[in-house]
Amino acid sequence: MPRARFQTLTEQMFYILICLRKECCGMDIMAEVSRMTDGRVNVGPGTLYNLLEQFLAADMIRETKTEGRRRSYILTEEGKKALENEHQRICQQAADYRKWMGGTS
Amino acid sequence: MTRFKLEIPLYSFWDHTSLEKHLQAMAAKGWFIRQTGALWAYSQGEPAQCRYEIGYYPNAGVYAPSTPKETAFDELCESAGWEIAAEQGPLKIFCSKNMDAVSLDTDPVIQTESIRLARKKTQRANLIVSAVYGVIALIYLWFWMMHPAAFFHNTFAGWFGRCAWITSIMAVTEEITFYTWYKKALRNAREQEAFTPTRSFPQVTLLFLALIAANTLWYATTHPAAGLLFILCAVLLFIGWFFMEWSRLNLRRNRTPGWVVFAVHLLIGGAVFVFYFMAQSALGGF
Repeated sequence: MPRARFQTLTEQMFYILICLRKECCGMDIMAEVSRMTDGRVNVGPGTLYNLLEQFLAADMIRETKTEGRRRSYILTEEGKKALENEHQRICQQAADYRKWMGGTS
Repeated sequence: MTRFKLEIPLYSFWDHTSLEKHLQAMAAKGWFIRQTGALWAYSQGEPAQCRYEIGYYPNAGVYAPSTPKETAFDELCESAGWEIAAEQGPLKIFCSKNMDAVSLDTDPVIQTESIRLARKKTQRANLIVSAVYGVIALIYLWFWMMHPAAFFHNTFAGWFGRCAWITSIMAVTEEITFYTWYKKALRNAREQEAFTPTRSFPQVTLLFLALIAANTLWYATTHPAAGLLFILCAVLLFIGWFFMEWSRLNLRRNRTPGWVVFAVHLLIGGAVFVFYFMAQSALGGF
């Protein structure tokens, strides 16, 4: 069954929203996500464009300014909440792993 | 002087995997895509290793100039190292010299949905034409069942009926091929976060086109004057279609209002039809 929209975030969504904790434009987001994850996660421009549009429609981010053709965005309270929920979910998964698999990290 | 090459596009609009491979192979031979449409135009240059990727932007305008959002999409792709090489409505062909450039689409669900939405936009007009052809095909089927020998009657009506059948089968084949891929791609994307390569059948398209050409030649050879005129007009229409696309792209790029671009389109297409009907009347009608 498909997941409800933004109930859980994909890795790409998660890192894009983290980037948007401060004002950022699309080009910066692509570079920042790659840098944050040491190149493990990359966001393509087509995917990024679509996700930014979806985040805007869901009021998770808002557009802050347009300089020439460069559009910048920042996280809203709704976006922070979604990010926090995802963080909680990942922490819970890690805790469950430690509990049942006996890991230390 | 730059040399050009024209090619009949045989791959489906949504078959980005095959299109990308094909464009890369053409670039390796020194042919670079410049224009899409009824005929795809390539210009010659030094053979190069290029990566081609197709981006689907469902809200792209066909006649109206780019909206700020569409421009933002193009610019975002450019900033990631992807130069736009050609476009055909929602289908945008990007090229990169950097073989390690991050792909345009890194999320399979988003890519699959973009392809479906882009196709839906282009299919609206096609569906109306296909439906009309379908009805005509059924009328002819009924007629041929009543009069089997009429199938081989080499009249204009016979030619038209056979063409309607070929076109209808072509449209149904295309729908089945797309939805078979789409269902599989969406399942793979949602369940495994995996991309599913697309695959259309250019050989089948070629077969259908060959059937239409054979049907037309048959008609033309038994009606020399009308038939030759008919073939001439078909070629003119193809050339006209090429220039319609060329003018559309250039006018759109120069931010000409959508209605002007549409009017120019209509004028070129209409001129060929008027020429055909006038010449056909001069030859004594259909």
